[in-house]
Amino acid sequence: MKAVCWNRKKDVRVETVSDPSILNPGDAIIETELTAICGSDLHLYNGNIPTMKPGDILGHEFMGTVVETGAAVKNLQRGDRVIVPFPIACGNCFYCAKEEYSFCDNSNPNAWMAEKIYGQTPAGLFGYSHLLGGYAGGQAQYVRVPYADVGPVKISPAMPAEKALFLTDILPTGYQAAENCGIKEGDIVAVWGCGPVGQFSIQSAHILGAERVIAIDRFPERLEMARTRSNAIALNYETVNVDDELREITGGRGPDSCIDAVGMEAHGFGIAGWYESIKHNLLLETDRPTALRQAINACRKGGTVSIPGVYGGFVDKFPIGAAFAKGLTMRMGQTHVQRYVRGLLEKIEAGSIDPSSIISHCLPLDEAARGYAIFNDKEDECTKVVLKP
Amino acid sequence: MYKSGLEAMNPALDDIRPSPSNRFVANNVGPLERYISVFGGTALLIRGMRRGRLSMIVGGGVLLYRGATGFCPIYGALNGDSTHGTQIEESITVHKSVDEVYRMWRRIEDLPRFMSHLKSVTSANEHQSHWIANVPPPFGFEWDAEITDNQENRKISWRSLPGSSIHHAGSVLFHPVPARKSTEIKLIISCAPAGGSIGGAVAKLLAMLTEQQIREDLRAFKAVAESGEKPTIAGQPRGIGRTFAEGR
Repeated sequence: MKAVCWNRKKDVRVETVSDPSILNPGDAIIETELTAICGSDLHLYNGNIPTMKPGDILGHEFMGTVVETGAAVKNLQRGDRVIVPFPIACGNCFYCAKEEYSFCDNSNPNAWMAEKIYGQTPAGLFGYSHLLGGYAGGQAQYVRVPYADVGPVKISPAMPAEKALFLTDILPTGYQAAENCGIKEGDIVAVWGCGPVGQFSIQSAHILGAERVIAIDRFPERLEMARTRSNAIALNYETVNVDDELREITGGRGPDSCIDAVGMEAHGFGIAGWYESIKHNLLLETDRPTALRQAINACRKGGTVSIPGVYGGFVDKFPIGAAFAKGLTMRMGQTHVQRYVRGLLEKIEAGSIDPSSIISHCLPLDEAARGYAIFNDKEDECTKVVLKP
Repeated sequence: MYKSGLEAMNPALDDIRPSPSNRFVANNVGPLERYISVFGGTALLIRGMRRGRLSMIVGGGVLLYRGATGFCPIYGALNGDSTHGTQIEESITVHKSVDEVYRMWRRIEDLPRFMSHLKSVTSANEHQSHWIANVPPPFGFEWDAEITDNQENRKISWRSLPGSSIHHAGSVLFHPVPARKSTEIKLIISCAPAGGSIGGAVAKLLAMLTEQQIREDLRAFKAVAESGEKPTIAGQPRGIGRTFAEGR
């Protein structure tokens, strides 16, 4: 089969590899109908997540049709059309029982690695480094899906793939980010980063009752999308002073909640941006938290900072003093996708959310390398790339 | 000293722990710790040499040594210098009732499913069994063992019979945590050559009995008990890894 393989920093290629097979009784094999490049895949593309090996198959957003099931699989049959959540979860451990699927105790075969770095291991993920399991990903014609009774959710043949695909990651991720804010009537929410997760965070914040949502980015097309499709007040951090603007818009209080939908590769601006990129290049820090710092400083006293953006290692100059002084609540982590899929699927079916509106590029799987490059460089007003095998 | 539920429940735990000087210390630094030691040690060494600080040079050297060899002289000194045997304690929490977990351990023939240093265990009767070590050929190694203590839902202990060329003993303790619908397990394994000298097969077995390995064994038990399977990626497809292929 064809699969998108990571070779090294900024070098991904479509290769012909062997087809996946059932390795455990709970596995299923899915024939991919549609897959996507996630913003978090760009962290891998740029070599910022450790423990990637040349030849690893990328991708954690995919949907398709079941072609084979293991002996223990009860809920799925050949021919079922499913979306597959990106965290791999056993469904039976303490965390899965609490619907905290991305904390699954059992799904990471390389748990020891994560334990050494993080103390405890989170769930294994599709196509997201050996630290998180080393599972072959979904940017391929076929994918092996472990614990097939737990993750995959059936969708009707009538549902367009473009609308269902983002149930695998970014739509639930945006939703959980907004839910983690504990939004109350009249709340103002600020969102850093207007990529797909940022857009879905903005839309979810509205659904959960936010009075106003402020969107912060530097790309005009993304700010325009936030303004017109996601109904946000848009701020370009390269042309306005974000701290001052946020103070003005919130009557001097600061936003009730701040969402960092940027993560470890924030671009920063001016002196602070240069400082971060120099330190990063000298390997003095792994993650560049310029968006997170600004979110912490902007947030009102007693407010919540919610972090759906991915962080992997260590940061420097973390403003713990501001967070402490203002008694902030910080919520973060990978999304418990399985918890949200059915509820969000109903919203898509009812037409209250149309996730497909963020797609800017639909390419054949063969052109994945070009897809990564334009998404990474934000060329051609790229907001989201989907790949058709 | 704080005692966990398991320890408080079983004050006689110290009886089955050999003295600290019995620890086997050929390789006592984990793989990731070794990486960190090499990088940190190199940085410290270079900085120490630039600034002419002896303490940094020595510290960097020690880190580099333990990273490169996998043996930490400081850990070694703390554990004493005798290399007669090994004794390991590891705990894990399983999201199953104590009843289910105890019954899984009571089937002593199933131990090799989880414990990688065992090839097979065969029960002769309710108390006695025959054990075969999972050491690589040409070494072969077996012994007879008996169950010395069996308290339902609390504890199972076993040890090799007198006359075996190995002293192999173990205990598994069970502590129910009803509020979490879980059971804490503590596994204690001690292993030493019965005669005092380390022969080839026994040495191989001892080398396999590391804390990390026992931890992996318990993790495998937990995964099978909870989800019915052990997670794996062995046998999945991958690309040819061009970065290395083209470099040659």
